[in-house]
Amino acid sequence: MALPLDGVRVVEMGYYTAGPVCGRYLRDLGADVVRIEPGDGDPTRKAGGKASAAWSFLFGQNNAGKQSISLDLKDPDGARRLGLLLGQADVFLCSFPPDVMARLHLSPEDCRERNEQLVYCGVSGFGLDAPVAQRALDVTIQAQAGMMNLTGHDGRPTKIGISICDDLAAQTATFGILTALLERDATGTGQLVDVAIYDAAVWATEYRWPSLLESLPFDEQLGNADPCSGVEDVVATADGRLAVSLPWSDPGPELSEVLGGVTSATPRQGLEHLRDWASTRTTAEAVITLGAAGVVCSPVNAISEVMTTPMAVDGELLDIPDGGMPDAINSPLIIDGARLRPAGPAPELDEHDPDLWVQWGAHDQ
Amino acid sequence: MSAHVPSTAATGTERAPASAPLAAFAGLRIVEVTSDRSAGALTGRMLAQLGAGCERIDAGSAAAGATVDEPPDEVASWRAALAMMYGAGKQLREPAALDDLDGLLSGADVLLVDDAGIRAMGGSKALDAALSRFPELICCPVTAVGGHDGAGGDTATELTVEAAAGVLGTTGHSLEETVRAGFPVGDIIAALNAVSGTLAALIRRQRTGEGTRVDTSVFDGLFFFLGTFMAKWLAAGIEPQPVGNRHPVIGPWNDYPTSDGSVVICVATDAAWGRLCELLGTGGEREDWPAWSNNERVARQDEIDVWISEWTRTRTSDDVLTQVDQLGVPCSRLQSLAEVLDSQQTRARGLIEEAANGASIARLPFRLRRL
Repeated sequence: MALPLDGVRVVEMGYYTAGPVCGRYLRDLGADVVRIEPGDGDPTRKAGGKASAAWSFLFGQNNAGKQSISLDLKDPDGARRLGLLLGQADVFLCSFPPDVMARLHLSPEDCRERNEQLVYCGVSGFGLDAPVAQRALDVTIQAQAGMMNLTGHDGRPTKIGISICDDLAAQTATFGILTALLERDATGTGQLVDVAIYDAAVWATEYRWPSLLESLPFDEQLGNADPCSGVEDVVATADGRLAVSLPWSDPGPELSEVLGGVTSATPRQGLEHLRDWASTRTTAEAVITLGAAGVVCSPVNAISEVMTTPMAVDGELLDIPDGGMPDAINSPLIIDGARLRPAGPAPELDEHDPDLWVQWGAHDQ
Repeated sequence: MSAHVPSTAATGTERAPASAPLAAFAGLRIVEVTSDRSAGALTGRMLAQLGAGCERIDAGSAAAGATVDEPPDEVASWRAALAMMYGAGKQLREPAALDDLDGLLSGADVLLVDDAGIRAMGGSKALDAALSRFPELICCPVTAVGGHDGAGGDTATELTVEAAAGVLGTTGHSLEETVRAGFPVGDIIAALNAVSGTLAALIRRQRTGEGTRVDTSVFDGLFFFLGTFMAKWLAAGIEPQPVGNRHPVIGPWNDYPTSDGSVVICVATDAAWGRLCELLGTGGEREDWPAWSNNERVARQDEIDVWISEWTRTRTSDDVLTQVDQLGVPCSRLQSLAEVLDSQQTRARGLIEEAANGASIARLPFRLRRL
């Protein structure tokens, strides 16, 4: 199957999550993605000890299917060789801070001189022209962008477990690069995509903005409730926990029958009745009974349970070889009925030197 | 009710002008059949912000036997505001337009649907039939949990998908008090996947002339980001637990009390750890602490947190942030949403824009200009 980005060439510089995960998205969509790493490699490769296998999986997840070239960019020859690659690239994806890129003579202006058709995507904490020049990581952005104050139970701001800001920045960079490729083709000019992790995080809180102007009581932590969706909470069962969502309208006679004929004056009262009922049932029993009654619910799954859900298994989200570790989680996209999978495992350091230079035609004139 | 987020008058927040339409999207026609606050609706809003023409059919009112939910007034106000925000830049069409599907899709570039939209159109086979009649069409279903009949929309909400996908079970300070994200993170992730899938399909169509079906779901999007937690289970058979405000495999990393609030400090490298140790001062029984590796720091984070808290508790947030930032160690204040929307950074980046329908909405999350 021809993939959407077949023939698109991406040069990627960056560690950890935001930049590399964007590169992973582009690679899964068919682009050739080459990572530029220092002589001793991306630091993510070097983690050892008890966490080495976990780190290895994370590195594999973020970099599956890419190619690797090792260059010392402080050495003139390393910089020259990177310039040759950029001359043949469609996209330069970098997630080092703007001041670092400038010191390496890899600012947008520097790169335009090498390739006027380039799509340059800079991913940084606060933007290429940021008024705030401070280092940032996922959780500092979660705090600064208001996410932690919106998440949690009463009075206890809470970080979202996954690295949501880095993940959103990766998605935003992918969105921006694809937009820029279309705009480049329409206008014939190179494009600059400026992605700030802070911007992506603030953007994601838009759903809660109306509470401020309307003076609605929804501007801090709401626990497990989202009143817009209905009357919701997590209730304890005899052997676990269950997320339940009831409509604001009458849940109907089916729920009443489940509850043994108990009727509820309000949806909130119905939820309390359901809480009592669930406490004496197993999670599996509650899911079946409530599901049959049309009540929206789900077990609060542990990670090992998530991997065995029908959505994960039937959806082919993870290919686990017998007795081994998977290389990576598969793409969240299905193209023409086929789940996108990474083209291969993450590369060894400098694995694609010298072949890549030939493939890309990246030679001195 | 007006559907504005804080205006200049209300909070001092400046609002940027609407996003400028891009040449690549001029003349692009999107047909959207969605409910009004879904991932699909947000996907359509983003495409409209790029400059595409978006015609929306409300799948909620188009569905046979649709129930009418009647929430309290403050919730109804919130829903109405969101409908305005997610509907910005779109032209609303009557559900009767679905009766002439060929007429509706003639000349369309993208068909965007969610679970309710799939049901309103008669199921997934109707989408494939549309693709066979319009081979250059890009069709993008954005569902809750995948599947082909749109039933997921009846059996899942953001809360239950976060629970099913492990996000709820890994967020919080203990297993008994796990909690959902404070905004519909699953819908947002799915919308970004859908918009990227759609744009990638447009790039392929330029080259091949062929349309594409691009499926994604809220569950799939969340699952893709579980790597940090999944790694522990896959590598060592350790069931990941919620880690509060810590990082599962990097440390020290937490929120710490100050004399006037709290701050977040994140040490991600050995060098940063060494600089923090120098600032706080190690000696006596802590003499060997600066040499601890990341794995040792993660294992002994309880002790480290007590030490850092003793230092931060006696200082103001400003003082702590100034000193820690000078070390090049990432740190931040915990800001409320009101503080965020009124902040220098938010104003400077122009993160709020006014849409043509009068709603104040989030500007697209990236900036684009000629290189």
